[in-house]
Amino acid sequence: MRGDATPLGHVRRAPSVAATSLSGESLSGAGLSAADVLSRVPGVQVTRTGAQSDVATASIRGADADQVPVYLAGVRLNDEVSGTADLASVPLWLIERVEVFRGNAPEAADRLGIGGAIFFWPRVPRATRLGGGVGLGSFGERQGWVFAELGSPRAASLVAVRRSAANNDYSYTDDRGQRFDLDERRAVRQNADFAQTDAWAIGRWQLGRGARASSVLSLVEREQGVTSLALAPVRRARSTTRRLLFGGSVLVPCAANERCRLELETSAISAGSRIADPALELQALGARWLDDRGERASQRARLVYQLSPELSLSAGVTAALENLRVRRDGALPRGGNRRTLLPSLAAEWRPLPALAVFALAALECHFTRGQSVRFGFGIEQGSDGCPVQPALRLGLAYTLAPRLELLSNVARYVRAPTLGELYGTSALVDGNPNLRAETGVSLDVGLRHTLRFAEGRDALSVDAFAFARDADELVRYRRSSLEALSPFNVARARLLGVELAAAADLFQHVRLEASGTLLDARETTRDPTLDPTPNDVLPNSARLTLSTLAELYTTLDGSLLGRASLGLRYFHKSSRYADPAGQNVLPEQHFVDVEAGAHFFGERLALRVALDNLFDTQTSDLIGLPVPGRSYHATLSLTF
Amino acid sequence: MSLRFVPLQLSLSLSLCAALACNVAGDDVTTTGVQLPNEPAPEDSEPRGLLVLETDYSSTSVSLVDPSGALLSPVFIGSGSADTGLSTALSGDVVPPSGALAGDEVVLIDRDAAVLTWVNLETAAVRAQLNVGTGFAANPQDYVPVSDDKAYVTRFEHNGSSGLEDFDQGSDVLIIDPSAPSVVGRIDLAPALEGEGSGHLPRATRALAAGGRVLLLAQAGNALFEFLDTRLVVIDPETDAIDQVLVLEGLKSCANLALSPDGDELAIACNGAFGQDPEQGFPDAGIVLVSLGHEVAEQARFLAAELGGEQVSALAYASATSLLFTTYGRYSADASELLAPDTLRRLDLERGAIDDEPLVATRTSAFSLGDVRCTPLAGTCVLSDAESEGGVLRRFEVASDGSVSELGQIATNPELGLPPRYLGAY
Repeated sequence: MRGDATPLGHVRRAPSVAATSLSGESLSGAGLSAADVLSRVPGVQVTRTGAQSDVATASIRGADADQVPVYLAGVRLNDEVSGTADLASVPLWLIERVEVFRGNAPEAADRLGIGGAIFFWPRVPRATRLGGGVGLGSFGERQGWVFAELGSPRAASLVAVRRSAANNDYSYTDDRGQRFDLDERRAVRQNADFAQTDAWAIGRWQLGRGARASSVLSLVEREQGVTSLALAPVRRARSTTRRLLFGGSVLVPCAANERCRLELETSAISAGSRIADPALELQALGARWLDDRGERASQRARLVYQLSPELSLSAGVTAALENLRVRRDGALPRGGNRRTLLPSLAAEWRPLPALAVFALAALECHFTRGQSVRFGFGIEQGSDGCPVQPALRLGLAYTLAPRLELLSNVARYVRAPTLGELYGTSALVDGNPNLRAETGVSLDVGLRHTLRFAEGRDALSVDAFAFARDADELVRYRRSSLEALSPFNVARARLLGVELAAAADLFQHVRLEASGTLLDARETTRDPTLDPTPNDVLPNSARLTLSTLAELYTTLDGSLLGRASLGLRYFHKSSRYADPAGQNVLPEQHFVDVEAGAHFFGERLALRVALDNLFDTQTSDLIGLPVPGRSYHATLSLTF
Repeated sequence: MSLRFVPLQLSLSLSLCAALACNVAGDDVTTTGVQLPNEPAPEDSEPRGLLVLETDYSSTSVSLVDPSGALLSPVFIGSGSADTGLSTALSGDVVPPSGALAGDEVVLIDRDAAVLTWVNLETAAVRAQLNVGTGFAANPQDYVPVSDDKAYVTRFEHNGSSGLEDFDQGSDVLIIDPSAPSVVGRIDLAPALEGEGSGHLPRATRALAAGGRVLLLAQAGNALFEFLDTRLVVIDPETDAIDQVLVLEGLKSCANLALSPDGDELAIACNGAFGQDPEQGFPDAGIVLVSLGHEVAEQARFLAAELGGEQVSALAYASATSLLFTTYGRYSADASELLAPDTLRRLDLERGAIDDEPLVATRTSAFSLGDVRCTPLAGTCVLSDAESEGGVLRRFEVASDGSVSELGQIATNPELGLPPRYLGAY
């Protein structure tokens, strides 16, 4: 959250929404991943499956990860198989700003997401400079990157490339599945190494008369071992992932005095992965290789018109095409395609100087077709027309006193089924073309306050929200044939929670941050056949997450040493159930990290070090998937 | 109070909350064992009691009932009986052995973790556990005690990266010493597939001891779950060698077996190949009766068409002339409609025909009926039903003529609410 004018970063483009913005040093720590950053945001719970290169997902306010769209440079990363976005695929090193919309996504999102939305925005080129850096860390972590930036007020561009790799051969406590008769021993994670190349090309242009344009091109290629559960180590299965992403936007004023503007956004993404399992170690795969690929292209147009100083209206429409192909050794291919139309209307009205009202209405229409497999033959299936689902939000922002705002939102959102859910992904997971969208109705109320002390230098920000959501038509998998599962709209849930975030900058040398979430996530499915267990606490949802930072820093202008800092972080996640019956309790987590950084010659040379998991806590977010213990990370970057 | 200290206060109060209230409570249900009668070890046809394994495939609990289904212990052991670490105490994929267990212990087979757990029946205490995975996801299927220091464990999966640990080839029978416990050897089942092309694995599943021999089913499948005809493999426990292989011609995926009350006959249930069109009538599914003479030999066969037209799942002898079996239901192609329910049916072995009406049929779901288990000498049977009331054990009475009538049903573990799926015996 460092780097903002106020200690706690907010997102101004959705003023009534509980939203957190992170930038600057918050995104620059040694060994820092996208999952690390998000785990410090109130309302967000991150689930990791291993090291930084292994799959990690984020849920917001108890929503499943597939109900949270995640965007990189404005392009949605969620795939059409699981519906989730893998945070490990987000290269944080060139990210300038992260915006987390808790519970309510902004109008710009192409999915308004039951759980909100997460945006990763890459660095915008501004100056002419060259730079590069190297990084080292535990478990064979190493990386190196270079970038070149060419900029003027009218146009700027940036190209950057990074190569990173790690062995990820960390040790963990292996209980050999014998929890009653403990025979624990230290084991080393096998086949967990990865190597990745990612490249960026970013441009921006001032086109005159207030018009401007920008473009982003990002390529990620990764090769890594597939680890699976630690109890049954996988030694030879490997996966390769490739993702090419393009985003372009143009903003054109359409009236004098900037009362009207037209926004055009184009995005395209092509992503694919291939898992090779020559020794058939991955039972769930049931094949020697699996290849899935998807593409999506979308175009969005939005017209914003300021009718009066008190009222502005906007109308937008997003059209998208996407497809998914899943091919598996010895099996017929599966897949599908989707055509989406998302018209939206939004209004911002300020009837009183202290009151702002925000309204958003959108319709989601998804027309899909897919290829399933039945009795050994491929069959074509499709949606019956274009089922329309409305998404609505009404938000209020009321200024109670200077720098003290009361915020509230009531909303209804939907999550359209993925193509994988509709048409199946394997012989073991059939689709269900009759699947309906998941729906959620939510309400939140919050306070946001920033206080400045003497001379306007020390400051304290507090952000507190209470929220409630009722989710219906939730998808759960049930056995549908002798060998396969299928998804059905069978479950309901109710979620209540409180989020608190506070940050203080004191005495020009002390920074304190704390964020925490209390969550009560309950299953409310009434059918005893579907939900037979009396326990109604949803699995994998911690009732409390807490992240704190205490940092000492100094800034010495004009000297060899610029900013220097030493910080101590503490992260806590309460214990949580791993199963619907509430029999398996994943232990609470406590992590303490130490981080330090120093800038020399202004901002030109930066050295950052971190010691993560100082007390070598052995734990996991999911049964059987240990996360690393204590590790060190160091980066050295140079810009000139 | 200065606002400057709000973050600290927030941190402290939230930490207090964590310590006091925010952690979830583990399962604190008291586990209890049962009083064992001071009698000799039972025969398969007359167990002292039954194990009921309840699961939602995420976690497991075990209850004990008497042969008529009367509840003895609602919580004998479960996934919540030990702390969670890298793994759980019991995963959601735990089954009991096919045969009745003698002595004062039962064995639970955790297929997901590849771990055997020996539990004392009277104290519910775990004596020992043994990982039989030998370094890979071995998927153990059954446990057959041979003597105090010898038992067989059938393993379904093959290890494509074998050679790193002893006995880690997989798709075999692992020989263990349950008294230690430890792994002491393996029986290669590859000879059971002699004459078949390469690429198929034995894929050992359920097994039983009968007449001094061990009989196991080898499903003979390749890595892509395409199966040949199932083999009944006879092993001599004196030599740990294959004595005989009986190919069940034309029948596939045979996954359950039951011993007749006199121990002279074996009934085998075959559910047929995965993913076949029901319109074809499941020609590779059915029930086979095998005589257990000096040589095992097929003596009768009932194809799915004679058994109600659906795929056969579990089975049990209700009497010498009466066999109960379950069939899988099925849904329409888009899974929106139940086309055939799960059923429990009776096969009259004297007539060689099934009763006209099923004893049980599910109302709204398929794959809800689990194991059926009978105690012929007591004239009782029980069926696990995951649909009714969220999961119950249904109790049946067997008349002297072999006819069967339902006595009632019981929720074996209402406190946890997990539905019963598998039945074992001790």
